[in-house]
Amino acid sequence: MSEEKILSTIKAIWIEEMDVPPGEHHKIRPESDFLAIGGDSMKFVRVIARLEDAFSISIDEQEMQKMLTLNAQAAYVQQALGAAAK
Amino acid sequence: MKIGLISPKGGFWLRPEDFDEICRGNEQALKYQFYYRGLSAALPVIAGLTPKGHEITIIDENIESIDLSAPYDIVGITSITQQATRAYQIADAFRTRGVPVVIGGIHATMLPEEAKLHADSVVIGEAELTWGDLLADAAAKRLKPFYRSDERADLSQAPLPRYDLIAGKGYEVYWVQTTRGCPHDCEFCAASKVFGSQYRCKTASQVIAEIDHLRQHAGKFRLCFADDNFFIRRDVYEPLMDYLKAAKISWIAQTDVSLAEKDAVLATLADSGCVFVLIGFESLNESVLTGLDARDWKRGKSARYGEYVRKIQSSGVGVHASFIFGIDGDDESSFDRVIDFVKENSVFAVQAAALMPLPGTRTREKLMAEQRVLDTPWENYTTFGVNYIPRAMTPETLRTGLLKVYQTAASPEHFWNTMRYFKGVARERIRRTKEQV
Repeated sequence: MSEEKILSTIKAIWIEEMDVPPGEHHKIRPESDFLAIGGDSMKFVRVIARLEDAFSISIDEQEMQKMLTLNAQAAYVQQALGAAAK
Repeated sequence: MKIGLISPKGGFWLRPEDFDEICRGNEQALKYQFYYRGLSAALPVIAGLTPKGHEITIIDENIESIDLSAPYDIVGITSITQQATRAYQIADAFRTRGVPVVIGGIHATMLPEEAKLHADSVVIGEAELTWGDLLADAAAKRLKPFYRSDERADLSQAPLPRYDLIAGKGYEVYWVQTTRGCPHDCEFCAASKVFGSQYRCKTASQVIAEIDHLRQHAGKFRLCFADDNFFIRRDVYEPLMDYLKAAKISWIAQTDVSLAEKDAVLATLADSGCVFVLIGFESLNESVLTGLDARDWKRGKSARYGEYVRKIQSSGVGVHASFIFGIDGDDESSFDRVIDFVKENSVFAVQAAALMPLPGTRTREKLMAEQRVLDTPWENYTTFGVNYIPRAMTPETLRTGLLKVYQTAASPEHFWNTMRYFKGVARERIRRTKEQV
């Protein structure tokens, strides 16, 4: 899966979980911090659970701690998918 | 008249520096505290009770400064015990300039004579039944020293609180009240003394109108329901939860462990936007709970506290568990018991507080009679302040114990363990949704 596709899938999950209005989607940037832009911890775990489900991967709490930005989540997903492909 | 309504600097959850040190590096501990930082609903309610034709300004000293030279015709100040000293300083400053001052709120209701030393008038009890008369008397320059309502307000007739007057202050969280009163009548609770043991409710449509009013003026926000127990009247909370779900508003509320027995509520709670519920467990020690509330209700439930937490949290909603330490019968072992409980049950968040001898409570009466209330200033009446001599430990041991609980409950390690737990809950919910589809 392309990096772009992974990023857009994750962004769509963020938008849904945080109920970001259509006119404000641009505010979610690759470097945006989930908690800083209005997410809370329950929404965060729902995002992580949805990533696991959408990409059929597993994310432990050590990894979760490093995944507060869109970029970090996309990088982890890409790495996990790559590892699975091998 | 030009009316200034003031909430003095301070609050129940003010944190000392050593607590902040513990929380450093734990975004979540700081985040859930943030939920309690909005302005209490008291001043918007008072503004809502004010007849048209007056010019009202609401000032929250926690986020803005007070212009003590402002040309008010009357100033109203509300305060809890922790804010009382500052309330009196503000009142004295305005009265020096000849501006009449009215003080109300829980502390003034419990100690009206003390408040009267700094005010022209004191509102005792709920203001709904006296505020109109007070304003008329103020306009006629014949304020009475005390305005006392012997009856309690009918909340179904309560006017819309004036959230529009505070919407521009940049709050991310607003407090809304749907009920007043609590039948548990715990011996340490001052709110029960003011609001009584009978539940009084607004209608669902009233509360929805209040939130709609907020949405018109405040943009995006989260809600804190100020009720002692949100889940009492099904005809109120059910339509409200449907509304909150449709409006996609995140919210929190206070309740008791009986929520765990309400399966229909738990089935829809997370989807309605509820993030966590604050529950007063008070203690894990049965002997401490004995006699704490009027019917020993909490003691009767205490053996199943862990089961209740797990059941509520398995719905995808966190439990913010509140414990009080240092009640007679309590000893140092309670700190470790609570720490173990918090770890074993992946408790979302914890409030560890010292028993507080608040004016007007049975707790204070008892401790005063035993000469165990310390001569501490009202500013020390926060959840962290130790203002009395516990029976089985020193005040310092009690305070150190509170910090010890937070060292676990607010640690990054516990937070991420809890997040792992809730991720499992979220996965299960995804699985069930797929099955249903």
